[in-house]
Amino acid sequence: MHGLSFDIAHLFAGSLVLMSFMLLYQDRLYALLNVFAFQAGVLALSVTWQAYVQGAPHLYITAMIALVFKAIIIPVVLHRIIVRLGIHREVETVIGIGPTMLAGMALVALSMVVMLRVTADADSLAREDLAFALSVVLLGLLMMVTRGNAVSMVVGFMSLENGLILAATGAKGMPLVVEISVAFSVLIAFIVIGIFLFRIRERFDTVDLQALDRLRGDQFREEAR
Amino acid sequence: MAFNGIPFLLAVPVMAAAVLSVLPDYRLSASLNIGAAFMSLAAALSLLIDKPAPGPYILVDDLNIVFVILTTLVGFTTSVFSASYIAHELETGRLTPVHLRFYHAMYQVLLFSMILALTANNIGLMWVAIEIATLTTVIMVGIYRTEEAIEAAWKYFILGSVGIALALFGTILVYMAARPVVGEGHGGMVWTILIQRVSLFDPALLNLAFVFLLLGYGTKVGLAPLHAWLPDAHAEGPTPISAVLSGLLLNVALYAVLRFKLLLAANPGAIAPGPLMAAMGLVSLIFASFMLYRRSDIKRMFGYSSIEHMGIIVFAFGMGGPLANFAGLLHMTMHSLTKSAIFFTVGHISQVKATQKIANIRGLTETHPALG
Repeated sequence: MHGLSFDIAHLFAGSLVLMSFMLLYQDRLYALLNVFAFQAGVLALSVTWQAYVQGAPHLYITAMIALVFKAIIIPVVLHRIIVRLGIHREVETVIGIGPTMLAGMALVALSMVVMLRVTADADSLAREDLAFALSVVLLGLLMMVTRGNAVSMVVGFMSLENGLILAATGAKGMPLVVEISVAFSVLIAFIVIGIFLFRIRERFDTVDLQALDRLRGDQFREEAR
Repeated sequence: MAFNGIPFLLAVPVMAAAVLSVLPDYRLSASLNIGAAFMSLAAALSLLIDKPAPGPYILVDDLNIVFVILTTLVGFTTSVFSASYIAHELETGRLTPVHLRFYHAMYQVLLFSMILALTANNIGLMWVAIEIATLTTVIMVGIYRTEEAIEAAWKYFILGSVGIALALFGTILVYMAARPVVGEGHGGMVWTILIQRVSLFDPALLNLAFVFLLLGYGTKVGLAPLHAWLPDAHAEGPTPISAVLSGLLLNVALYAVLRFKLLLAANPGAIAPGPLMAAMGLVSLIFASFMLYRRSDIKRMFGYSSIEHMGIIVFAFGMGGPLANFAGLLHMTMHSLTKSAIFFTVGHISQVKATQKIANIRGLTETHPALG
């Protein structure tokens, strides 16, 4: 039975890495969001499985957060923001997809080499979970680096965070996992609000009432320069 | 019966934040802000007299008591300064009363999270506290809503979040290293238990964890390759926040690094964390001293100066040994006090001269002899 539970956990963790790769080559924002929602769903499944195997009921809360907040609410909100700002056609990779994928593979190889060597004594489930988690984290970072657009940077950050949750739930019996995932959700909610403000100002500020405010600020600065 | 200052210390800012967030009158809330900060300071000083025993979540020892008192002291002086600062900002129309309500509440939340991070005995709790501190400062940096302020806040946000994400990964790795020795559950994240048993931990895992923790919390300290957010955040936010950022928040992040450094130093098999920290400190120092040359914005310049001082402090702690550690602590205390004082002066100067450009600040000794 242990073999089977191990295999299932492995399957989920592996598919998270696969999803991270899928995120890397999406060049349209809607597709990016869909893949991300899918990844969050897989994460929720993975966490649920861990909760069941470890007999740790509090992890179900983390799984629920992943499912409701990250797989449903955030993608829907981001979708709306994209529609409102009319940026759905933006293709904005700084580096081409080919080199990015190669870099991604190199990062996965790196994390395997590092983690598997370092955690030689740990039990096999934890060590492979950690190796996968590190891959997801690094791929998320890579995505943040190769994208210029605020929305896809946030998606990169959230996939990075998926990797962290994977690591935290894979570490058996780790305390405060739920608190940490709540803290992260708050962080992400803030970032999403942040983009909204940021993009709004970038695009519409001249037709905005606040432009008056800004102008005064500018004069202040003009004077300063 | 022993009086325990810790619950009081933590409860004051929380309650103050709740009250301040609904209080409409800014004069009243500014004085309330000062009062709450003073009460925190008093509570922190009471810890000197009577040190509570370490619990599973809270720890007060000789190292962090310095930090706690420093934090509450600078928090108090900054709240006094901010009362006069914001009155002027309100006159010039850069802030509105609604913003101010928010500002005061956030100020107390920030104090709370810093005190929590400093007194936390649990590395997970410490992480959560530092995350809250990051969030509140991001909001405060962006409070002017100018294009530059929002850009600075965004940059800070992204770099800060990546930093704390890496730090969390490091924290998880520390737990993984602790688990075979300490056992599952809460014990694996309680610092006092970790430090007793750390010599039995797997050194390889600890090494890797420290790399992540140094990079993660190092981002918040403003160490050289990861400092990009710091000058912007200092230059664009309100000046009291610049003072708190550079006088306190950098210390809090540094404190987190120090705690983990102690863990590593107690494990014979792990790499020596000292040279790593010393190297990063030196790089920051050299880099920042080059950047200091020809800065035109005065707050930005002092932002770089903070990076430089943090470099010196990290270098001192990296060298290790009682003398260097004492030097590091002393320099840190002095840096917090002088840098916040500098920012108070700079705040007044930039308000009376309505500029942050060094070239435009002239004739101060004539118009404002005290500031000059």
